[in-house]
Amino acid sequence: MATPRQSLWLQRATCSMLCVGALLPAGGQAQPMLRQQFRAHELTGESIAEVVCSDTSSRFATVTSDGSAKVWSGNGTLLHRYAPERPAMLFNGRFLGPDDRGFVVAAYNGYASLWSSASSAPRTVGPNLSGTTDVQPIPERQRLVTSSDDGFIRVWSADGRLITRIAQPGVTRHLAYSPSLQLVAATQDIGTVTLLTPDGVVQGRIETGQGRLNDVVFAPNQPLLLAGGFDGTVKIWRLADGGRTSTLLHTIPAPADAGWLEGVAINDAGVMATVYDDGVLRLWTQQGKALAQLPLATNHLHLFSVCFAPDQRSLRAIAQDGTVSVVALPRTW
Amino acid sequence: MAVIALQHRFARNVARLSGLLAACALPLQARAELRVETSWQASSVLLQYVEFAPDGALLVTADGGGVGQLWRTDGQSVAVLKGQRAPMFRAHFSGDGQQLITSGYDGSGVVWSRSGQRLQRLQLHRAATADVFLLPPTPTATAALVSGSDDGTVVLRNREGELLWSAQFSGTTRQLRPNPSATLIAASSDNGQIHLVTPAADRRSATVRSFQTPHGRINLLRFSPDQRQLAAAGTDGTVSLSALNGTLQRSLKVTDVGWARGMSFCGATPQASLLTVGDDGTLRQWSPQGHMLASLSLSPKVPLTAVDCSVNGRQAAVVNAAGRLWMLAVSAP
Repeated sequence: MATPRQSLWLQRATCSMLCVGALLPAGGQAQPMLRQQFRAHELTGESIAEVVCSDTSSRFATVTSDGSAKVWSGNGTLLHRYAPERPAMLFNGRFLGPDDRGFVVAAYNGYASLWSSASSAPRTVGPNLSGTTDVQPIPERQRLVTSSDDGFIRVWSADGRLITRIAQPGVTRHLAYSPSLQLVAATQDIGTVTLLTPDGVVQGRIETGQGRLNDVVFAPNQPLLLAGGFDGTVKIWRLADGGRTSTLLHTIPAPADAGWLEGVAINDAGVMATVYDDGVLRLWTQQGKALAQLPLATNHLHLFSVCFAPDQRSLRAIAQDGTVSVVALPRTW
Repeated sequence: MAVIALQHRFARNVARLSGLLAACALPLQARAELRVETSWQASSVLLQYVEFAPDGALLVTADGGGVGQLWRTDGQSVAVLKGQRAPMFRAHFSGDGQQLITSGYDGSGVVWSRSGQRLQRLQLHRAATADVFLLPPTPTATAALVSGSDDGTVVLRNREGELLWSAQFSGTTRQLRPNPSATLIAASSDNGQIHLVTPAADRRSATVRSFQTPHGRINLLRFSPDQRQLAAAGTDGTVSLSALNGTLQRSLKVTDVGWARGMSFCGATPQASLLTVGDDGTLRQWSPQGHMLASLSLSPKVPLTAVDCSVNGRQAAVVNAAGRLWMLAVSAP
C-alpha cells in the first residue's frame, strides 16, 4: 500500500516529461517545468558529461569526454567551443574571468587547458602525474587549483607555476570553491572531503562515510557544504571556524533503485537538486523533504550533472548522451 | 658526376654484401618476426585489456563498455561476461585457468568459470575496482583475491570476501601483479610509485616496500620471467625495468607519441623477448638487452591498449582503442 506521497511520486514517475508542467500535487502547488531539451554533444556508450552554470549570467557550459567544452546562451544557442590542442577526454571545466570571457578544462592527459578569451590560444597548466579530474579557478588570488588521479591537489599561479601540492589518500575527484568562506573543498574516493584555503593550507577533513564522492558544492548564501556519494545519499554539513569545524545537519537518503548520485546543486532558497543513474532529477528542501521529481533521461541513460543559473530559479542538467535539459522552478518556491 | 656514380655503385655493392651476409646468418639464428595470423572486431568500443588463459586455448578481453568476453584463438566467441558497471578495466585468469575475475567500476569483482558462468559477485571497494586477481591457495592460506581501487587501497580478501589485509596509498591504485606463487604482489599508484607487498603466510598481514619510478601513472605491471625484475609501462611513453629493490635497470621508449600502454614477456626464460604497445599503434619487440628486434604498425591512428603473449611465447594477442584484436605469431632470435 503506497503512502499518499508515494502515490504522488508514482504518478509523476509514470508521466512523460512533456506533462511535467501539468503535474500538480494534492495541495495544488506549482511544480517545476521542463523548458527546453537539446543534444549538446553526441555522446554514446560510457561517457563523462558535466554542466557548469555561470555565476553571473544565464550562460552555461557543457564539458564532456568527447574532448570539447561548449558554452551556450541561456536559450541554448552555441556561443563558443573549446578543445585542447592535444585531444583528450575532458572531466570538468569552469568559466574564467569577468563576463565569463575565458574558460578552463581538466583533461584526462594530466593537463588543464586555459583560454583567457574565446579567441585566444589555449595555455596548458600541469602536468599532473595522472588524469586531471577537476580544475577550480580562484579569481581573486589569480590562482588555479587542480585535482588528479595521482592523489595530489595542486595550487598553481596564473602563469602556470606550481605553488604547492597536497597528497591525499585515494583519488581527489571534485573541487568546489566558496569565495565568501575562502575555502576550497576537494573530494576523495575514500569518502573524505578536504577543506583548504586558496593557498592550499588544509583546514579540515570531513569523513562522510559515503564512499566515492561524485559531487561537492557550497551553498551560495550559507556556510553549508553538500556532498553526494556512491551510496546515493547527500549529506549537508555546516562549516564553522574557517573550515576547521563541520557539523552534519541532514542526510538525504538514497531513493530506491536510483543508483549512484551523480550531481547535486543548491540555490539561495535552500532548494536542492540531485541527479542519479536512473535519469531522474529530484528536488528537495535542504532538510530532506522531497518536493518533486522529473524523469529527464530515458532508455536507462544516467543524468550526470546539475547546476542552478544565477537567477536561482532555472536548472540545467546533462545526461549521459549529451542531452541538456533546462528546468524552471515555480516562483512560489 | 662519375664520382657520384661510383659512390652509388659502391653503396649498392655494400648493400648486396650485407644482404648476403644476413641471409647466410639466417640458418644459424632465427630472425625476430611479428606476423599477423588473424584479426577480428572484438568490441564496438575501446578494449582495455586482453589475456591468454594459461593453456593458450582461450583469450579474455575487457572493454570500456563494461563487457568482458571469452574467445577461442580463432576468433570464435565462447561467452560474454556482463553485469558490472562500465568501464571494465581488467579480466584475469586464475593460475590454473579454470576461473577468471573481472573488475567493475562499481567497485565489484565478479568470478566466472572458464565457460563464462557467473560464480560469485563481491563488493570489493566503495569506489571503482581498477584491478583484481585471484590468488591460489598456499600450504598456510586458503585461496584469496587481491584488488586495487580508485579509493587508493590494496586489499587482500579470502574467497568469501572477508577482509584479510589492506593498505592505503595516495591516488588511484591502478595496477596489480602477483608473482605466480602469490608470495609477492606489485601494486602501482598513479603518482608513479610501485609498492611491493609481501603477504604473511596466513595473508592476514603484509609488509610493503615502495619505490618511485620515473613514470607518472603506470598503465601495466609485469614481473620478468625470472621474477627478478618488474616492468612498468607509463604515461611518459616508456617501459621501465627495475630490480625489486627499486633500482632502475633499463628504460625503453616504446611509442613515438603519447602513453606506453602495456608489455608482455614472450617466454619463460630470462632470454624471453619483450613486446610493447603504446599510443602510436605500433607493436615492438625488444631483446633482454633492450635492443629493438622488430616492429609492426598495426593501427597507426588508434592507440594499442594491451598485449599478451601466450605462455609458450609463440603467440601474442594485441588490442586497440577501437575494439580490434590481432593474433600474431612471434619468433625471436
